[in-house]
Amino acid sequence: MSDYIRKAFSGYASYSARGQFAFMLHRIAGLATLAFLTLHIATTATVFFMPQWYDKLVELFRNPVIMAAEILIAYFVVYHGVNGLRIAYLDLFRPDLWTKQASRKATPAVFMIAFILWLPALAIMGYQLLKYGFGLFGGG
Amino acid sequence: MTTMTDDTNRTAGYDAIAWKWMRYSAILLIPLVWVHAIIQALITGGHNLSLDYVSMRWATWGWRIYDMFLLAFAFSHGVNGLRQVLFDYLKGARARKLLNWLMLLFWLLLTAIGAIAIIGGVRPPA
Repeated sequence: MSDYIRKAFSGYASYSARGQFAFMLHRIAGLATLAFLTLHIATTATVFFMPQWYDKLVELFRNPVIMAAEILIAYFVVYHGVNGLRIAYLDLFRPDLWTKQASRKATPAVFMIAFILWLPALAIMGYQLLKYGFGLFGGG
Repeated sequence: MTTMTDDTNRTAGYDAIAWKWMRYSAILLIPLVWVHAIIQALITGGHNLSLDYVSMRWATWGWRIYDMFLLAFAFSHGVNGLRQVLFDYLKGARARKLLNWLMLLFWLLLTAIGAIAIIGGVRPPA
């Protein structure tokens, strides 16, 4: 089993440490986003199937644990998007750039861009977490 | 990062289509998901969602079509991604065939639920 886990998270080509981390994070982020998306579709669909549940579900999700998890999901979505754009561009248009040297340069840039793009989400959702999750700034 | 050297056939058949689909949908999903997340999670805020908010937004048919695109592209991209990850664990032809059917069912079920809700819209609570 541990061999399977190693295989699933180590990538198909032989990566340097950074490339392997980029690959792992891409998978973890993608799977976490799919889990969120599945829940999100099912709960949003209650507006048609079980409309009396929807506002209760929104209320249920307005707690600190879920709100903190959503901030993490926001990072996963941003990272998966930035890194995915790099993968799509290289696979579709520049497969010749799939080299260790190029990846070694590109992956730190991807981490930085994703982190910077995530900061506004961290600020706004962090504020919402403090206000509505913990009742600070006059929230409840 | 490329998946060029794994063992799925990428030059012909459904797996080749799925491989291309992941890349093209990825490019389309960047604007689709980010606009959706910025409006709903950052500007509106998850705590402000309500039946009234959803019915107000879905009063505009453009947003329903937008959400339909999101549902179609994001969920198929996600389920196919899960399928690719699980393929690393399942090497047997029979196991993979079974997995393909399970993934297809899972995708169809949730897509149908989402699509019916988008078309049907918000119903008044009983």
